[in-house]
Amino acid sequence: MKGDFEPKITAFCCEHSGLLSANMAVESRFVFSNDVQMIRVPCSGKIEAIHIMKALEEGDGVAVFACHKEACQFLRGNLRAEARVSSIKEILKEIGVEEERVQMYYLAPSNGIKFAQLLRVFYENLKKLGPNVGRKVG
Amino acid sequence: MKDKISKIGIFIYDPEGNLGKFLSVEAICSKLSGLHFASTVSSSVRDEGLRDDFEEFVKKNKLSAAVIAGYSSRSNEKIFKNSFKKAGLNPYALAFINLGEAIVICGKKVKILDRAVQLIVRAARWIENQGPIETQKILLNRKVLVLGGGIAGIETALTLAGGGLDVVLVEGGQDLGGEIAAIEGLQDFLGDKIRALKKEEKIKIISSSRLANTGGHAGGFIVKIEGKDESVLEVGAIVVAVGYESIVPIEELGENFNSRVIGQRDFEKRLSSNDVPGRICFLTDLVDEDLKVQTQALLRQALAVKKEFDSDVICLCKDLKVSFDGGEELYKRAREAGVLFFKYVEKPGIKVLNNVVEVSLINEDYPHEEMVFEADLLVVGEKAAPRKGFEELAKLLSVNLDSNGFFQEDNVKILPTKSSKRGVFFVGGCRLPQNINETLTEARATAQEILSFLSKGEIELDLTSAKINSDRCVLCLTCVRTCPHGAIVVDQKEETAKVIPISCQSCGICASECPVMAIELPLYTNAKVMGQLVNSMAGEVG
Repeated sequence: MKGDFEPKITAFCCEHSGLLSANMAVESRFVFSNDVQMIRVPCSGKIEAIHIMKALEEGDGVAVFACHKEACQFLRGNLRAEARVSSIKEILKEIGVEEERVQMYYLAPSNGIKFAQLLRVFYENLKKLGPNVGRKVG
Repeated sequence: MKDKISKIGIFIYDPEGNLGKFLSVEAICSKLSGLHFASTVSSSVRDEGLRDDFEEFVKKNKLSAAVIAGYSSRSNEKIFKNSFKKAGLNPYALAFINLGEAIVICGKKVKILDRAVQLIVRAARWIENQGPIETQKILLNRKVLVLGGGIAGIETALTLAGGGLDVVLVEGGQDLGGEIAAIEGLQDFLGDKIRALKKEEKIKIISSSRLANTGGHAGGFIVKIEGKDESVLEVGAIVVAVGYESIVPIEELGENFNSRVIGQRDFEKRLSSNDVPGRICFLTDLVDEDLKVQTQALLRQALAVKKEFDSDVICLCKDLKVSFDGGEELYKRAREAGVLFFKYVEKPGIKVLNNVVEVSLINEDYPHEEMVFEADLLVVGEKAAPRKGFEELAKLLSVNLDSNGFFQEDNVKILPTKSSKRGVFFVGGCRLPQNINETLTEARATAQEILSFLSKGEIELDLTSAKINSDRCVLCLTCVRTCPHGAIVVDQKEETAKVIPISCQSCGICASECPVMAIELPLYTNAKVMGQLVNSMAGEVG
């Protein structure tokens, strides 16, 4: 049963790193994941907690792709995103959802290979975890 | 849903034939036809062909929005946006997707074709409710405030005045010239610059004054100058060129600091008064190991001493940094003139006995034996430190300082003199200690940037900046604190926070931090993101 499971991933990509890396991965034809939806955001600091929670309600995992620390176009946006992600992890722990379902990754704009690898690893992890218990039914 | 998105055009292009190998474009179109999309395919290779195709497509179908699907659509974004604008349509109602995604993300269950259609539908949903973006005309004041009368400030002011802008140059001290006034050999150069500055009618020099208060935004800063006379000015841009402080590393030298041990700047004075002893030892890289200004001063001074006074000159350094203009050449000339260079790894021992300085060090090449040098004078490389008022000034301008206390540029690669606040620039040593040529280049580049910004006297802005719902705002000041660009101010009268469109760079940090959700980015509204999450995950295509 678990073998057939295909996790649905939402990837929030910062326009300044994640999105560029994703495009590079696409152009270099790295096959990264089976079902991923990329949502472009102007800065990882723009990703609201409710958006991550909603994505978890509708899917199995959320990956946040932000710029490297101290390399944020808007100074501290990625640090804000990091704080938000860790607070969401706390909430997930409390409600009994695996905290690994939300992950934050740091990328340079040209990290196409790394982007593909990270998504692949994330996908494999989610596959091991199985379907999200917190996912909306019906 | 189907009626809602009926006016969205789908424009697929495949100039290099990359898509064709994996996807049948006709098949995509046939799948989409049930949705009342207007769709077309272009396979033009050349830019003009693509533009013509797209313009014709826009003309033929009465569109309100369009999805552009290509293999790598980012590179052609401008062409499409311009064509859309030309047709009188909203250029923000365009979505660009990379159909290559469909090729690389194809699982067991999802077919490439389904995935491609899904991508297009998602993109269409993203833009279906995109309202028009208003524009606003903002008048720009054609006056520039330059803080600091050092070489950086002088050169910026001269270039700006040459370009036809009015300049107010505020200097904290009495005289112009700053740090380089002390350097021998640059006096004539500096004198010429200052004369040119004073001759220029467009430049007003205010000495012994400082910036006391700022308000407003790029194009219309209101600044208060304090000093001999108080004055309030309106300026379009502010250039910070306040330099840095050069300090003899007393702490590192310990108790050995006496009249036989001096800093590089003090030695400069001795050079000009011809007070140079017979044996001189230079010691650099004690602190601030990556400062090439130190190496430059060392090479220049060592060469001058050797040539003019024929003293014995020994230079002790960790690394010689010759990556400035003519650095290698200067080093070569110093070697040829007879200056000796020794490399040390561990901090050398310094002793002062009977007016003779004794420096002992272990050279890497002879690790078993300690080398001892005697000299009449030890010249120590100075470290660069931020000036006292930097923090206060940064607060006044609402810009940031870096971890060393210098002014933090916005992006080190794209015009590094730009600050995080629009209209505020950092030039010269206050951002990074550097040599004169670099400072001059920086000053001119900054002046050009300001000229191109202010010359027209007005700017038409697309209001993609964050919008605050004043009914919801409770004035908690979260956004004011979190904004990295100092673009949010408090409107006392209406009791709400307010975004200054010209300063806002639409990062959306305020929108996600706002506890009452009163802020939205027009291009990334909450509803849009939520719509993406809910619709797409339902797994339905079309």
